[in-house]
Amino acid sequence: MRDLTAISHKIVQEAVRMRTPVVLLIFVIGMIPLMPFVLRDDGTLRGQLQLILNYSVILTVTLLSLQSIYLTIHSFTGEIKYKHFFLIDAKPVARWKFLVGKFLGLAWINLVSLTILGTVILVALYLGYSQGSASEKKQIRHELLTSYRGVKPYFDEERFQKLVEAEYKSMTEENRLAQDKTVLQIRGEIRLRTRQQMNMVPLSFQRRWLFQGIPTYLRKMESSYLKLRYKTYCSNMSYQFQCNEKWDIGSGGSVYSESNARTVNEFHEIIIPVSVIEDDGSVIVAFTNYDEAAGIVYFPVEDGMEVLYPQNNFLSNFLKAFFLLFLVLSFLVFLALFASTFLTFPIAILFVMYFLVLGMLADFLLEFAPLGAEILTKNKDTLWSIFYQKTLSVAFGVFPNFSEYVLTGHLSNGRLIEWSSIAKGTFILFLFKGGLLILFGCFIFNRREVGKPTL
Amino acid sequence: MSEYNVIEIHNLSKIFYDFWGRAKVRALDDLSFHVKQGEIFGLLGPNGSGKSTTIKILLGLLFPTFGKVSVFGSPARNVSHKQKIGFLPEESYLYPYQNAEEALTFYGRLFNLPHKVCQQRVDNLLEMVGLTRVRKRLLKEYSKGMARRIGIAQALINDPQLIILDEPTSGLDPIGTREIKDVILQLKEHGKTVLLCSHLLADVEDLCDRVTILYGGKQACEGQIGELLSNQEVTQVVSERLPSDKLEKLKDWFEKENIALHSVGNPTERLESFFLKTIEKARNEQKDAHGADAGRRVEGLFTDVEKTPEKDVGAKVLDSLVKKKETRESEEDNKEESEEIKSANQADTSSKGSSEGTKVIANLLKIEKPVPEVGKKEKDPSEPPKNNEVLSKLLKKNSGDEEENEK
Repeated sequence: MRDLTAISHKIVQEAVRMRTPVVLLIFVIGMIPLMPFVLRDDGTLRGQLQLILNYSVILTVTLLSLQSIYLTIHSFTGEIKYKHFFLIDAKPVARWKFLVGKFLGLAWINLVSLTILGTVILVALYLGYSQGSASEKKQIRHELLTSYRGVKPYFDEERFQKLVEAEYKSMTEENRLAQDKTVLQIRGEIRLRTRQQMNMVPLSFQRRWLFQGIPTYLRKMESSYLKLRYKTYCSNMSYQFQCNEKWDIGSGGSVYSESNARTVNEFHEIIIPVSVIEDDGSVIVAFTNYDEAAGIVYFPVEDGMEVLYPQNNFLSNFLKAFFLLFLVLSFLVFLALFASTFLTFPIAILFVMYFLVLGMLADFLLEFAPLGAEILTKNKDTLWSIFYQKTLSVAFGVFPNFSEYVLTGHLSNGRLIEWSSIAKGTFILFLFKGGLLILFGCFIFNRREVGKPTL
Repeated sequence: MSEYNVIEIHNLSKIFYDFWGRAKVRALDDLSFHVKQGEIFGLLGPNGSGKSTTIKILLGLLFPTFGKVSVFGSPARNVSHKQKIGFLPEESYLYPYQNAEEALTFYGRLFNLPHKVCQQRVDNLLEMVGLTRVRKRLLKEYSKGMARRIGIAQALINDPQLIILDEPTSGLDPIGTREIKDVILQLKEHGKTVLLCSHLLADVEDLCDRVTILYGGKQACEGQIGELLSNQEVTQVVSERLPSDKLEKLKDWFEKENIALHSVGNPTERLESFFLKTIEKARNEQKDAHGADAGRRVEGLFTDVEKTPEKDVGAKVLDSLVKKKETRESEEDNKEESEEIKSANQADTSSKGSSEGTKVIANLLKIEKPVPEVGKKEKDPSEPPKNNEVLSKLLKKNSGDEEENEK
């Protein structure tokens, strides 16, 4: 065990003597007070704090990712290049211990860096919060310093499928099917259209949504509340158009009603009393469109309506988010160690950076993968398009989608980071994928002739 | 010396391949030798002869293409036997951002040494290599010689049974060289096996029991150093200074007896002993220096604070060192020491140069003289002179230049 700690201690020593973490800490800490002057917010203190939180966390994870990659590869390949490793390999230290020791040292550096930077960010947030007026503080407490769990409206998939099938049948009978598209593509279009129709509210119509699974114990907590979070579009495309809305939330004797004019194409939140929660934990939400100027009102499918209920305080959410960041950084260290077992300094850096960028853009790339297949194959399901899509799905299955673990949006929007995300990060990202990388790394490194003369 | 073979190499070949798998270089070709426990074995050869490749294979840094290599009876890549190996590479591949103390502690911890034992050994080794005063200085600020000393210290941190030394005296000044040679002899005295790889033929000649000479990856010759170097064709007689008339008589006698007389004259002092005397004089006049101190034999070098039966092996080294020191200390007084220095200064025959040099430095530095010729035969004046030319000739001879050798 002393050999492992010696190797891990040595890389910490190396990093400290190189002053990399110190420079990074000074840079991030120096940037935080500048952010309010650099970033544009919505003019409220809450908006300012949200931006500071968002950007400082993004800055932290970006710089720490780069530091992890650089330190790992520089240290490892340097050991081989400058032959320091000759002296270690001549000692009774198995090569896997060398890799694991390096990982432990780098994990320690990341843990300490995250702790320091996390503390600085928290202090900055609470300092900003303490400067606000009473109403601003209340807003910040509700919208930033409380984490909420969201519930999506109940969706009857069976009924929806029947509607899609009926539409497809009717189009076939009426010979309205597009000739240049495949059956799958046509069905996909029908599904999207039907889904949009279900979220459409014509003038003088009311649409209802059922939300289930809201904890009933909230009714006993007088200070507690629910939030309805939504976004609307309407036929009127005027800039900053405000739509008159009428909301009736709840049923029977306990209904909360509200009428207000709100800007379309923006997210809004309505605070709802907990008394609207039914005995079975459901809440019925009804929207009435009575604004003639608005025309048809749409609720987007992607950023759909949600009922949010408070679950935790900000601090625990913040700790979870930083733990996930630690897992992402650890994975990058695993990847960098793996690359260093068979690549030299600049190549290994490029290799890991490639996967870092790929992991960061995974959402975007996955979204456009089908489009790429269509362009590639001219809208036909050929062998090439299937190969293209399968390859992409395998690639994204093997390499992690970092946006699943870098949850800055959850922090600034007060969304609860679920334990399932932590479990996924721990078991899939860290133990499984990271473990596989280090195993492959050990396998390769154990077979490497480090004493080979290099030109 | 035990008959147990610490290192066994049978028909070892090493071929380096290029990216496409084509053989580019045959670094070793059918090499076989063994190193017995307790001996100092020299690995000689010109540049590119395969010495470093052999050492790297012994340490598992390279893998053999053909042949068998075993160290302590197990394959070279076995990690557990490395517990008993100390290695000093050709250059001291130390971390520049560590200081001497941190470096030695780091290597000690790689051997899983208990904290107290590790600390004690670090202190002792730093004292031994004369770097106690600069223990907190970063290694990147060290001179080559100082870095070499730390390299030697790290090779001894685990009280190894087998020490592999690749050019141990390169970069060291004559005093440092003498000290390191003394340390190597001390190690042999305590039953350690040493594999020495050096270009400095004088070092090899002074230290090694047996040598093997490599050329082009092949074994050119192997044997006891005394056997390899003895010249049966020549006789040397060393006497006190002769007056010119007696010298003439002697020449006449040779002529009368029809014996070819190659040279008559006063043997010159070896540069090493002359240098050491000069430094001694300078040291007496000038008190302080800023770099490394002279090294010392350290009592309890390998004594563990918490002794275990296994660790007692290391403690024996200490015990024997301490006993010898105490005995000698009681026998010697300051007067004798000064007389010895005086006599050493006067002794100037080339055949005795090495041993006298050892005496001088031992007294100069007030260190324990590590038994005049530990594990080394006392030089007999009647014995033919050992000099580097013989080994150089051997190298030439074995590199196939037979004509030149005959000349």
